[in-house]
Amino acid sequence: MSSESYAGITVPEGEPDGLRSAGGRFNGLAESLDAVCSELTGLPTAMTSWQGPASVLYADSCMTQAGGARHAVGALHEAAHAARAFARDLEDAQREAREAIRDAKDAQDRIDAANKAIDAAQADQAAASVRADQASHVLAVSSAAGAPSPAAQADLDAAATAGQEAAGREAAARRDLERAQDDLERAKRRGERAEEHARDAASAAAAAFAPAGGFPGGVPVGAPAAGAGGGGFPGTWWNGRNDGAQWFNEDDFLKTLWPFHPGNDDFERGKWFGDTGAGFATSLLESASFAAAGAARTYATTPWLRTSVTRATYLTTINGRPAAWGSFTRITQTLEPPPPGIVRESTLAASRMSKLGWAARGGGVALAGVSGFVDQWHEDSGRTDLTTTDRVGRSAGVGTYMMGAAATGAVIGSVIPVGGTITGAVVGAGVGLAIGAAANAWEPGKEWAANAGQTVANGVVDGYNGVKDGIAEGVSNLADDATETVNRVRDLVPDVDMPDLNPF
Amino acid sequence: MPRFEVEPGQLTSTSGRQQALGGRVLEVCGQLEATAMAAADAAGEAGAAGSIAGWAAAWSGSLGAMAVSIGGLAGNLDSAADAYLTTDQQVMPTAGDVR
Repeated sequence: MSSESYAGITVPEGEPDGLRSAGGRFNGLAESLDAVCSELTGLPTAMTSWQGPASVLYADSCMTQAGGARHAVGALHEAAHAARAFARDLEDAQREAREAIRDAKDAQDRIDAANKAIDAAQADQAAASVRADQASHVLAVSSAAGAPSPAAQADLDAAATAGQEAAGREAAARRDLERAQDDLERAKRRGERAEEHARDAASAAAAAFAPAGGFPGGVPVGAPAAGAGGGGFPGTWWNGRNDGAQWFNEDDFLKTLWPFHPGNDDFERGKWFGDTGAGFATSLLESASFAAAGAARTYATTPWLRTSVTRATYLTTINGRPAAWGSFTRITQTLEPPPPGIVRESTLAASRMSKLGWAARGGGVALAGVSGFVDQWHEDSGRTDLTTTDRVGRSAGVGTYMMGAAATGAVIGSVIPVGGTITGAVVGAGVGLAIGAAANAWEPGKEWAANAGQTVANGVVDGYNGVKDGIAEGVSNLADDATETVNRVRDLVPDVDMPDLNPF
Repeated sequence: MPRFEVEPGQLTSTSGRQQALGGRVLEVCGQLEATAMAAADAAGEAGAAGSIAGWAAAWSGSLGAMAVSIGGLAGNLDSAADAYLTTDQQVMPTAGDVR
């Protein structure tokens, strides 16, 4: 099919309906094969009278073949899903590109109209200027004759008014032109985004179809070859492709957990150590701070045990004579509330430590956000189809998404009962790493965040430009109004003939 | 010697059913190729189209091999039924149908 194209925007090629239909047929074939699978499974049991070693081997072969058919059923269902997803994404991208083309055509029409209006206004100004010259000449000649021509004066005034009106029309047309040119640029960016979405959809489809390679080596009577469908762990987790279910990118998951994953380049490898070190440090600080806060709180509320030791001697006399004497020691223990000064100091220390712990937790979440931002920026750095605004928006979106994941990890980590500050820090950092890996691997979430960030960033920039245009237009309108007011005031001033100042 | 018993007629009829299953797999194989080629045409983008075509070729080959394998097993079953009958009729003519 020939592609629709305008102003550098091209509607992505492809037929979503054809893909959707293929998806339906893949499902139908899966059902047919599923029926074959069931029948193969039932064949050995149908031969109730056959017993012996050969029947066992036969049953085993049937089960193997049924297993192979079941595998193919799974692959066909996955193909159906991939084809439908591709159809949906391609259709969205094509619609987006067509809308961008429509906007671009509209903007181009307005650019053409504005250029025509500018030309017409300039021609009117030139004509008004010629009229003014002629009227001035007639007026000068008639004034020299002692009777200034009222008609020439009227012509001169009319020419001046026409010239000012034409200048106003030109200014308005130039504003329209500028707006239309902005709209055209916006439409082109929208078209580029649509093409990028189509490319992403095609890549996802290529990846979905690539790993399922049937049964390598065919299907013998024995067991179906292992590894059909792209292999298992660690192959599919190590090949840099998103195999199997597209919503979970196992390579991104492992990349986040293991710095020496082949998908990590030098920058990402170095960043992994930075991220992990910072994550452990904040987790350790958080754990230590909360532990210290707990200890200080306990100190402030635990009663003091006061031990009193009394040593004394005694002498008992009877009728003035010593009857008994000796010494004794008495030990008494009493519980007392801690001194107010200690309570105050400990409570303050607990509060400070607790705040430090929360700050460390928040710092860890913020670091995760920064890390997510840097990751996305690094990932998008080689893409020429993105503007700086797009990149900033996508990075900010993913950074926010990773912050959300880190905050969730912090909540989960805080409810895991662990003993010891170091253990707590290790568990906290580990939970953070695992949640980060899961969030990084969840493709729809991450992509949604990136797109949302991109949309917001472009919206902010467009909004800013709109406000700027609005202010410029307002100022221009004010200037037009002022010019009109001056003209009206000028018309009110009586036309006084001052022959003594007239050189003619 | 392990105990065994067989009714060769059941084996022959099951063999026929299995042959038919092999034929159905072959049919699925052809339809899969046609559908995948249509999908590749509809994909528009060369990489995706190539990937779909490659996927179809791999699965078509595998399903074709599976169909042959199913047919082969059906043939084995038929041969076994023949062998049992031959044994019953020629080697042990007095044994009857069930042994």
